[in-house]
Amino acid sequence: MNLLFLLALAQVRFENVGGVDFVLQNHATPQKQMIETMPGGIAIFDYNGDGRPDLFFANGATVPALKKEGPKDWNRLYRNDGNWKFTDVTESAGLQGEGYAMGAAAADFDGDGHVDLFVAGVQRNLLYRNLGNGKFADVTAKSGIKSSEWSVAGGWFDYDGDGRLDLLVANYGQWTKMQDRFCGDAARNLRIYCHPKYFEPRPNQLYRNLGNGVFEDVSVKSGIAAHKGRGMAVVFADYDADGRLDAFVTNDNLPNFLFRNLGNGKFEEVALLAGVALLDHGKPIASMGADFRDYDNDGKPDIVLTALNGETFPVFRNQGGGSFSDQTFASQVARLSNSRSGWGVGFVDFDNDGAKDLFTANSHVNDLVEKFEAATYLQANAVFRQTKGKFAEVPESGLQSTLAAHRGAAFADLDQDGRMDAVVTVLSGKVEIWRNVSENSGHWLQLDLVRGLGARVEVDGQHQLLMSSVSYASSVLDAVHFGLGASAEPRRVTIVWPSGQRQILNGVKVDQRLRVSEPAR
Amino acid sequence: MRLLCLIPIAAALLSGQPLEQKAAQARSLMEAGRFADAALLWADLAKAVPGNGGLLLNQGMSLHMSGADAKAIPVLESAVKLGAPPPAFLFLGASYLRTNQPAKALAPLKRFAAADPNHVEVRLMLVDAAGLTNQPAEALPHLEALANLDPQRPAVWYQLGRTYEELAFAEFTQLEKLFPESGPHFALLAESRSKVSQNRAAFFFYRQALAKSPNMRGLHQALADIYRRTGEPSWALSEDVAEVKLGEPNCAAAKTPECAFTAGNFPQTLALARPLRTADAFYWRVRAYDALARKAFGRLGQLPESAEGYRFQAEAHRDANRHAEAAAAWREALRLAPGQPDFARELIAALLQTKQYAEAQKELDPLLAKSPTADLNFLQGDLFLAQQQPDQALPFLKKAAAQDPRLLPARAALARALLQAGQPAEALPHATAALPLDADGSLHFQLARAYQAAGQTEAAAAAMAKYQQIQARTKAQERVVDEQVKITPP
Repeated sequence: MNLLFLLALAQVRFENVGGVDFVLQNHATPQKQMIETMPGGIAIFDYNGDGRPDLFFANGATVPALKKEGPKDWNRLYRNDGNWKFTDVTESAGLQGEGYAMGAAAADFDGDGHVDLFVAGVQRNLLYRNLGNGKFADVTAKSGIKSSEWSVAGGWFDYDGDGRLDLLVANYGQWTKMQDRFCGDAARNLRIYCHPKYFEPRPNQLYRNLGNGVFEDVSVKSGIAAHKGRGMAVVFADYDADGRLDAFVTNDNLPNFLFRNLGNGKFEEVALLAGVALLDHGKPIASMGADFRDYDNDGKPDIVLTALNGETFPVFRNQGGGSFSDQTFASQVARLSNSRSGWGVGFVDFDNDGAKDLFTANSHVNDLVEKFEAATYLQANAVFRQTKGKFAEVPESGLQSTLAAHRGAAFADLDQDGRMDAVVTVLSGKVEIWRNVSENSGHWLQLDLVRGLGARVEVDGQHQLLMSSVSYASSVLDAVHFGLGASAEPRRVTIVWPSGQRQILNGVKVDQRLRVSEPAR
Repeated sequence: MRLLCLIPIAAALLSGQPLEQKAAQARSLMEAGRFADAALLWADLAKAVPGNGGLLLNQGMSLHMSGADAKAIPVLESAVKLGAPPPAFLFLGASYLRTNQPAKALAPLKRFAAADPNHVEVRLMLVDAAGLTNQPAEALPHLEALANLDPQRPAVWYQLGRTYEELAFAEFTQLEKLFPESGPHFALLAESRSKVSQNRAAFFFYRQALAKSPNMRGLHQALADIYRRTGEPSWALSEDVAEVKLGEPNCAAAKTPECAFTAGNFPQTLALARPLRTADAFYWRVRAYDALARKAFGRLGQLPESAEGYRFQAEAHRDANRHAEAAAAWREALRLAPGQPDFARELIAALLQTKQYAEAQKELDPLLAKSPTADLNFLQGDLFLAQQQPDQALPFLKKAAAQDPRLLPARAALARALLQAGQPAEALPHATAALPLDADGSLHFQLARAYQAAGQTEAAAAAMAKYQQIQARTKAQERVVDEQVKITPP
C-alpha cells in the first residue's frame, strides 16, 4: 500500500505513558475559592540545551494563605532523558517557586541562548533567568515585573521590534483572601465556584524588555491597560499581515481582546470589529484557552478557543482585511464541542497529513455540575481530526477512557519520533503524558530555530509562527512542526526571521529535525 | 351540573294539553341527552307562551348543553330580564365563559352565587372568569369560599395561594408608584432580596428603609441577621440592641395592622389596612397577602399528592433556578395529570435548562404532533439550536415566524440560526424585528454581524455602535449598583 492510501486510513491515537509523577495541588476548599479551579499551566522547553524538550509545571499552594506547604506544592521541572524517561530536577534547578502558581511562559528573554521562564500566579509572578548550568535564578525583583494581580498566563513577544522579548501578562479578576461569597444552592447546601461576574475585571500588563534584565511596565502607555477583562490565555500572531505581532487574550464571560499592534509602541483593541470578541450570537462565554494558528493553510492565522459546555469552542477564521468569520458551526466544531468544557487547546497536526487537528483538554469548571445539569465535571480529552476545514471526532484516539479534571495542555514531540505528543495537567491528579502512537501518519519536518521566537516559517503552503504561548496558561518553545503527508520529496523551506531576514532552504529532506540558525548578514 | 332538576320548574307553568305534551317530550329529550332537539321544542313552547322566563331558561339551558352557546346567550339574557329563576344566571354566565367573554360572565355568575353560595361549580366558574380577566380581587372571595366548601380540592389551594400572591404584588406596585421613596417600600425590596439570599442588595435596601423610617420595627433585626449570615456577628450586636430599643407595639391601646399581623390575624390585618392609603397600610397589606399565600400553599402541601402540589413545587424550583428538581416535579405533575400541555411545556423548558436535550425532544414530539403552534415550533427550533444544529432548527423557526411574526424570541432564534448556517442576508429582517427584545445588546451585535457578513458595512457599524452603547449603559448601571451595594458596619 502506498503512503497516500495509508494516510487516508491514518488514525490519530495516543497512549498515556506516564513517567512523570507530578500531581497538581490545587488545594480545594469548602469555600470554593475560584483560584483553586484554575491552575495547571505547563511549559515545554529545552532548559539544558540537550536538544530534548523538558517539562515544567506550575503548582498550587494553600488557600487562602497562598503559601507552598512543602515539596508537594512546588512547581516542578522534569528533565527529558529520552526514551520517555523524565527526571525531577526541580530542586537542583531552583524552580520550587513561591505562592500559588497558575501558568508559565518560556523564552530566552536575555538572548544568552538559555531559555528563561516566567511563572504567572495569584498576586505573585516570578521571573527566572536560566543560568545555563542547569540552574535558574529568581530575578523577579530586579526585573521589575512584580505584581499583585491574579495572573493566569504570560506570553513573550517582541512587540516593538527592538530584538528583545517583551512580556504580556493576562490577569483575571480581583480576588482577595477574604472573599467568601456563597454561590450555589443554599437550600441543598451545594456550594460552587462563583460566577466570574463576581470578580471585578482587571487590566492586563505589558512589560517592555529594556535589555539589561530590567523591564518597564508600559501597560498604560501602550494602551493595554485601558481595557479590563478577566484574562485566561494570551496568544500571538500577525493577524493583519502588517509585519507586527498582535495579541489575543481570552476573557472569562466578557468579550475577548484582540490587541492590534500599531507599531508605535501602542495597541488598539479591535476584537469587536475583527469579529473575535464574541460569537455571532453576541453573548459573552467562558473563554479559556486559545490558539492562534493558521488551521486551513491559507496563510492567515485563525483563532480557536475553549469554553464551557453549551457554549461551544469557537473557531474564528481569518478572512483577511482584519476580520474573522465565526466558523464554529461550519467547521463542525460547534457540534463536537457542545457537550464539552475545555481548557487547554491547540491546532496541531497529529497525523502529519498537512492539516492541523484540534486537541482539547476537558473538564467542567464546577465540580458539582452534575447536580445542576446534564453535564459532567470529569471529562476525557478530545482530538478532532481536520479534513479540508472540517473537524471530526476521532473515535478511538485512546483519550476517551481517561476522565479527569483536565486543565493545561501543551504539545511537543517529546520523543522526537516526528509525531506530536501532548501533556495535560489534572487538578489533584497525576499529569497525563500522551504519547502519539498514530499509525500510518505522514512525513514530517521539524525546524529548530535558534533564537527564532517570532520567526515565520512556510513549508508546502503551510505557515507556522514560532511563538511560545499556547493553549491555557501554557507555553511551548520547541521546534516548529510540519506534517507533510504522503510525499517524501525534499521540501523548500522559507523562514522569515524576527529581524526580517528571509532565508530559503531548498531540498530539505523530510522526516528530520533540523536545527537552523539565522545566517549572518 | 344539576340541570334536569330545573326542568319541572318551567314545565309547571304550562297549561293546555298539547303544550304539556311538548314539554314532557322536551324533558325526555333532555334526559336522553338530545339537547339540540329539546331546544327546538322549548323554543316552540316559548313562542307559544311569550314572556315566560322559565321556558326561555329551558331553551337557553338546552342550547348551552348542546354546545350552541352563542345562540343560548340572547335567549338566556331574555330569560333573566323576564325574571327567570337563578339558574338562568348560571347558564348565561357559563355560555359567556364558553364563548370567550369572561368579563360578561362575571355579573350573572355572581348573581347565581349570591342565590346559592354553596354551589361549588359556579364558584369555580367565577374563579375562571376572574382569572381570564386578570381580576384576582374578583376571584378571591370565591376561592376563599371554595376553600371552605371543598377543602380537599388541591387546585383551590393552589389558586388561592397564587391569587394572594397576585394581590400582594398589586399592592406592592401601588406602594412603589405612590410612595417610591418610603421606608416600607425599601423594606419590602429588602425582604424580597433577602429571601433569595442576595445579602448585599438586601442590606442596601434595609439601610435605605431605616433611613426613611427609623422607627420601623424589624429592620434592625433584619440587618443583624445579614451581618450574621455574612460572618460579621460583632456588627450584628449593635443592631440587636437598636431593635430592642424600639420596643413592642402597644396593641392594647390601638388595633393596628401591625398588631393584627403580629398576632397572626392576617384577614384582620387586611381589614384594618384596607381603608388607608398610607405607605404603612400598603406595606401591611403586602405582608398579609403574602402570609396568606404561604398558608394556602401550606394547606396544599398537607393534602395527598396532587398535580397542583407538584406544580407548586416545580414552580418554586424553577424560580430558584433549580431546574433539575423542577423537571422532576413536572414529571410527577404530569403523572397525575397526563397530557396537561402547560405542564409538558414547563417540563421541556426545565429539560432544556438542564441540557437534557434527548429527554426534552421525547416530551416535545407528541405535543408538536398534536398541535404544531408557533410556540411549539419555536421550542423545537430552540431545542435544535441548543444542540448546535441550526440546519435542523431552521424549518421549525421559519414556521414559527410565519405563524406568528410577533413572536419575537422566535424571530431572534431564526436570525441566529440563519447566521450560523451562513445565510446572513436572510437573517437581517428577523434580527431587525427582534431588536425590541434586546436588553443586553446581543441582538444588535447579531444584527451587526449579519450586516457585516452580508457586505453592508455601514449598517454593520451602526448596529455595532448601538451594541456598544447598550453595553456601556449596562456597565455603568452595574458600577453604580456595585458601589452602592456593599455590606458595611452599623
